[in-house]
Amino acid sequence: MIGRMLAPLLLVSILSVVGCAPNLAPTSSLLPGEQGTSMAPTATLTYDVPLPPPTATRATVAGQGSPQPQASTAVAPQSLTKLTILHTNDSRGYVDPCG
Amino acid sequence: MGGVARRATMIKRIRAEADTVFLLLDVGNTLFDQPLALQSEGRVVVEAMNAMGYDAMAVGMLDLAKGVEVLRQRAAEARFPILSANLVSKTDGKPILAPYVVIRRHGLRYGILGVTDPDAANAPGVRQVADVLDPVETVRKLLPELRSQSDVVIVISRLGLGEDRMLARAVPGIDIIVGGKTHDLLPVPEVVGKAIITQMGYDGKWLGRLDTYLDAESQLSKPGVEIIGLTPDVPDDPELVALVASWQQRFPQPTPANP
Repeated sequence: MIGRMLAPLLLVSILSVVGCAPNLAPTSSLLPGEQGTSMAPTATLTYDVPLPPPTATRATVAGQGSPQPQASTAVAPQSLTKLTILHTNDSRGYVDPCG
Repeated sequence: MGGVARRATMIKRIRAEADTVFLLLDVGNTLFDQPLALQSEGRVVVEAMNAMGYDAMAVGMLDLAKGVEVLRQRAAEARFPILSANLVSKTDGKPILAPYVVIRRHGLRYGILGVTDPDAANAPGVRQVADVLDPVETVRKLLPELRSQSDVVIVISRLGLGEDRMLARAVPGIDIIVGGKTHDLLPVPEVVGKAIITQMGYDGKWLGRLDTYLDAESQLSKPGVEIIGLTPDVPDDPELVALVASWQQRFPQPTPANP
């Protein structure tokens, strides 16, 4: 049972040491001023944190039917609208897997 | 890890969840650096992003690696806006690209503003034709007009995590900052003031997912982050495989057997 629970963490540890192949580009991989600090878990991980309570009210939006959320991170009441932002950054022209 | 074919598979899966307002954003340093991207002058990347249905992208130093004019050309081909509020023409001081976009989805207006790091002025040839204005002052100046058109304000920021925290403190009224540059893989969304900050690694190895909830007054709550590792067990999307292969045929890459 414990071994099954630790398996994802072990996978993260193993995969986190895998980096990209050296850059073959004719220019340097990072231009001056770019930074490269990172940590590298690779499995799918999920967390959520509370926001402070609202202190001001903004313009009311048009009446919005709220879909029933199937939250991956939290369960919301029906009156809320779920916003999902998928995002990437600093992919540096990689279209193929990089390591 | 990574690759646009795996990324497209995950995007399609998540987009198919019909219970959510969905935005797909890129925070820049995206178009150049790898050989195929450089040889195609960023076209392979823009075509891949078009196919994946990106909604907006910010401009970083690497996106200017082939100069302002090539970036303008790629922006014209992109079916999503490439944004920079503070990259301005040296001749007239006006933004070279759109500073922000307002996307209406499911009755709500999402104002998305792109901000470029000042280091981008060091990209080849940029100083001759463009200036990179102070990012915090630029956001501060534009925020009222964007706020008036938006229910949710999102900044896609190339400033780096520390500067993003400072931006959130300095300019109240930003709801979400999606960041880049410092390659941080944030396992938890940060909340600074009322702004949610997130960032997702580098080299396209991960797809970041931020879920949050809006009430009837557009107040956000319960932000949650998912780090989606684009590992080999994620199947390739055939459309993206074919797209990349077509560019690889045009620009064959050297291999150890065929240097």
